[in-house]
Amino acid sequence: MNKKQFKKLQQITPSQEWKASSRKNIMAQVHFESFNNADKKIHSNNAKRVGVVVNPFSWMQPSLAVVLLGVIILGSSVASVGATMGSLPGDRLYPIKRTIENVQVAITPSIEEKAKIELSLASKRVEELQEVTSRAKDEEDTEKASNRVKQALNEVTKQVQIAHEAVEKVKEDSEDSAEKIAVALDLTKRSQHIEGIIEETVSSLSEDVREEVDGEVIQVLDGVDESSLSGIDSVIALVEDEEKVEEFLADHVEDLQVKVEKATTALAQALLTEEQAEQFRLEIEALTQITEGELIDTTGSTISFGLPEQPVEVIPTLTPVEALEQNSAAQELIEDIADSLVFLQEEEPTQSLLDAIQTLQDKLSNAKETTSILNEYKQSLGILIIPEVSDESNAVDLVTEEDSALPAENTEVDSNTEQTSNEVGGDLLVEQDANTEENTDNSALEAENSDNNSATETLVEEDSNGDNKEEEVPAEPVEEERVFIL
Amino acid sequence: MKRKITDKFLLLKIQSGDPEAFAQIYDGYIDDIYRFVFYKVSHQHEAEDLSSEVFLKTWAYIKGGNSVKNVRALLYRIARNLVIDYYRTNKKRTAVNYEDLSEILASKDPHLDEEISFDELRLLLEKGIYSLTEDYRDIILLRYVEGLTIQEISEIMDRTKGACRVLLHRAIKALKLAIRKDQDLE
Repeated sequence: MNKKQFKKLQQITPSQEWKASSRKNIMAQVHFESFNNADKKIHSNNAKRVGVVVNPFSWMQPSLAVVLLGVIILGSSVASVGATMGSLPGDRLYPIKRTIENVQVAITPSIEEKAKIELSLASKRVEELQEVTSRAKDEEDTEKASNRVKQALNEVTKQVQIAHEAVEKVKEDSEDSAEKIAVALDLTKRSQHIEGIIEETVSSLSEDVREEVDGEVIQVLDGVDESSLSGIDSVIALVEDEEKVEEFLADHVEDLQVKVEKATTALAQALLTEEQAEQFRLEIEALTQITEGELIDTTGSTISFGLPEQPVEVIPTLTPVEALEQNSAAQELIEDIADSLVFLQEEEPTQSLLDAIQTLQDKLSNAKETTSILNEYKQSLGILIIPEVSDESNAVDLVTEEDSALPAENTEVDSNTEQTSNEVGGDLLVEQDANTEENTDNSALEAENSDNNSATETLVEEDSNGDNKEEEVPAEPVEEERVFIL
Repeated sequence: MKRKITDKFLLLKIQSGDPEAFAQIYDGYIDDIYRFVFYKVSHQHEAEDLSSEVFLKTWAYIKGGNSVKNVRALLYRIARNLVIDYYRTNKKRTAVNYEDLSEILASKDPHLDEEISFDELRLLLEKGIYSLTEDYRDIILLRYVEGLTIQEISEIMDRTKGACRVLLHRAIKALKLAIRKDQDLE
């Protein structure tokens, strides 16, 4: 075996035809995505909406862009673009659909009309979400399904935000107060409608997918709540007829009561059972007996669709202490919400009623978050495998086990191993960069090659630049920084 | 070294919104990534599909705003993870046809290394590369076929440099042992 053989292996190459066609496909995808997301990370500064409209065509031949723009303007009606408009988040044609919509907004002159279009687009995004979720039910691959639902949810979040901003702009700049009220009312109504649909669609998802998209759901509902509240705020400020305002608010309070009920039930269900709380307490007990930092590494890591490995989400903050804290926070929150609700029912003057609604909504979103955190913690039970912690000896066991995962070191080198080691090192290893480093390697390897029955020598570990990945490979014990003392 | 600087430059261009720069990354690395994936799945079509996916994921990763130090290492790292995912979902592993593979290799530019015989190659592939564990095979491919530095390998395999050297050393030992055992039998 020599280097030439490896050189020979380098001669595998892909076929030219495939290379070219794959390049074409990839670049098409890249172009699509980069103009769809031009407002996002690549242009990190908050690109204005106009930027998004202009950018999409930058990759086309100028003449083609003009033609396409012409088609859009002449067609003007959304329906004329046909199949494109039926596409959903995650589809190839979806970016084009969004571009066309953006162009429509851009060519609309008045800010009131713009706001109305943005509002109707928000409803459209929710319809897409419904479609995506109904398709997700047939999808067997959980990851695929949840990714698409996530995308659709993000689209809703974005559009609600944009519509909200457009309404705010009307509120500030418009001179027509009737229009102001109309868009503010529309914003509130649509937000509530959207909220209802989101909750309905999400609850229809399978449990696996629902868990995956939990974060996005909270995010979108937060945004929707905020918009609805700001709509209410505007209505109160703009409408002069007291009676109408009260009527309008009464509706909203009723809605809110239903929401409170739901959120408190969910939170109550998420509370730790006595048994689970006890388990967490046992974990705390065991943890305190183990040197800090050692346990974090037993949790492993996950690989998500081919991207570099990332630690499991719950790990960085995972301590049973926090789980228990969250639990008692949740208990307090339930009482707190009940109190606020009483206050809400007693409240009369509109402005402080609005404050009360706002506080209550904050608490509700708090409750939702706590619910999901608690559920996450519950799942983490059992990640730290701790056999019945009845006495101290268990904790000690854990520590020694970890130690024995490292092969025992024996620095006494018998001539055979030395020979193998040299032979092997002599061939290919010599190519390695620095000779000095190799020395350390060899001695480390020799030590490791030899029989590992007498493990009495002291192993002094110098701090290896705090690299926290190191422990992921306990079977590879030797760091070049480690020093063996005879 | 020059390649690295070009990569940095291309990366900047991509991040500032020029997708064309990604085409240059593709051109620069498609052969290497294909070869690496090919040895891991030993099937032309699978290797083609997976290689395309590697570039798409890499694009998504860069576009997602993640900081990237070394594009080359990132590509191999994503390739490695994709192959792992691939085997996880396709439990059945296609049997490698060593003879065909050796023949293809031997027929390519036969004058270059005449002293390497068809049998030797077959032995290296069948008893050597494909009998090793995943990690051993990866590190040998990355170091000696792909010619990456230990630093890059440590980024790809997510280990410290020291751990990579040890792994490489062991991998070579295992490879030698596997081949020697075979020769002894004959």
